Amino acid sequence: MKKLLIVFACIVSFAIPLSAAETADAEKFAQDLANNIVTNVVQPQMSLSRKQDIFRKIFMAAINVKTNARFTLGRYAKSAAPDQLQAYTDALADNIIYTWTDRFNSYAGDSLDKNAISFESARKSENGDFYITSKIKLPNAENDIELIWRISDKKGELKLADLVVEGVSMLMSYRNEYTAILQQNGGDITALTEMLKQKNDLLKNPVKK
Amino acid sequence: MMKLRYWLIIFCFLLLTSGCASVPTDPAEAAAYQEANDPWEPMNRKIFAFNMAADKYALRPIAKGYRAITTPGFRLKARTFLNNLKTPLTVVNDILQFNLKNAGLDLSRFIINSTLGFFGVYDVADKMGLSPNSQNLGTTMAVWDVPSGPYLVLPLLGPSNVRDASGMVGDIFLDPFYYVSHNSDDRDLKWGFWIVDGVGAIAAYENNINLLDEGKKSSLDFYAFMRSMYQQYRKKAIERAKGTQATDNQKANYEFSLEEDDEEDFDE
Repeated sequence: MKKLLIVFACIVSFAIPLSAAETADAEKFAQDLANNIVTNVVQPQMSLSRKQDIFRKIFMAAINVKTNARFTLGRYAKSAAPDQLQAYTDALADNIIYTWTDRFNSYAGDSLDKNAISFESARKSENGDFYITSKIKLPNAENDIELIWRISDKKGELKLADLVVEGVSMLMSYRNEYTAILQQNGGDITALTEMLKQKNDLLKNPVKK
Repeated sequence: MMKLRYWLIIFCFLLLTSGCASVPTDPAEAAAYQEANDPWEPMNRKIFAFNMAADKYALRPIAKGYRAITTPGFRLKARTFLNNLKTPLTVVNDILQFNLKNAGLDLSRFIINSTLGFFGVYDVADKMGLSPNSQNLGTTMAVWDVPSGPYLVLPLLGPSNVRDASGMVGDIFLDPFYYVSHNSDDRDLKWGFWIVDGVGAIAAYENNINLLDEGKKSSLDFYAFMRSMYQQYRKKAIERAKGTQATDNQKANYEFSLEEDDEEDFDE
């Protein structure tokens, strides 16, 4: 029995480094992504639409948009037709890109730079994903904001799976909100997509106050 | 006592007028219904609409007025001062959570900030390594494994649930400052407790206006968005109080599976 365990331990210890990314890789992935966004989207002085284009490139390369979009539909994803799902996925990606570019644009005035974000710890969860904890320092705030980067590893390829701000998961928030809408409209994903598109039009060209 | 009567009236009103949403039979609908934990949704949405109107015509003008006549630095000091007055309540709740270590740390925070921090205007203790902590009876009851009960939107006070709402009432009577203030012969100090609560509410509201605006701007259903935010935020606070988060093996509320969560989560 003991021998068998040793053999098993050897197999496991050899097998893991070959197939999976290490926690340090995931941490570096999150740090690079944060730096990339701060230097190329938050800080530069340029038009909103230019920022949206640059953020779209960074964001779409960093995430697995299909998996994420599917998750936000909850069980409703099962009954969706492929083209319905595709249209919804595109609209959701647009929504996230416009929402966040708009926020980054307003943070630029709050002197958010690379030094404002510090990476504290990283760990691998039981669910196989990495959770990288960072803190964001904001001026005139009592506490730093805790931002956790959930990084998933699909056969060595790292992707940003979720962002958790003070315990609030972005993915879960989208899912809670959108499944509530679907619950009310009888599960009509096309109608939800239309609502998203209308919202996106407003977010893309915000009215200046 | 007036406050308690007020709450009892509200609760009776809620129970009498609550139209319950019917439980859906479709599996996808049922899953969404269960995740929301909001059987009183029709009533909650009405109170939410009332709160939005109150926001527009009363709360926001007050908060914006406060913002107009103060600087961000002043407002930070005001919040620090008001939070310090609530620290004894946190100490009481630390004790009720059997967390004597935190009770000691928070009591030290209160003493340090009330003296060296000029009556709590400066958070000196934080700079000394004692980071801020805030506990309430809602969290304490959660630590005792009291279930949250259904989601509840309170008039003016906003998102809550049955446990947290009753905790708010209990916190009034657990707060040492309540007794100091009420037993005082000084007429001004007698009202001190309620004034601090009122000013604290305005200060907190002002501090969250931007967050509310951002949520309203990007969400499709602001009610459902706020519900999700509140529920997740509370879960985190409770995990923090229980000491089961991050480095522990215990799963945090955001460590859900991204794959199809078929039968494992929701059994019909």
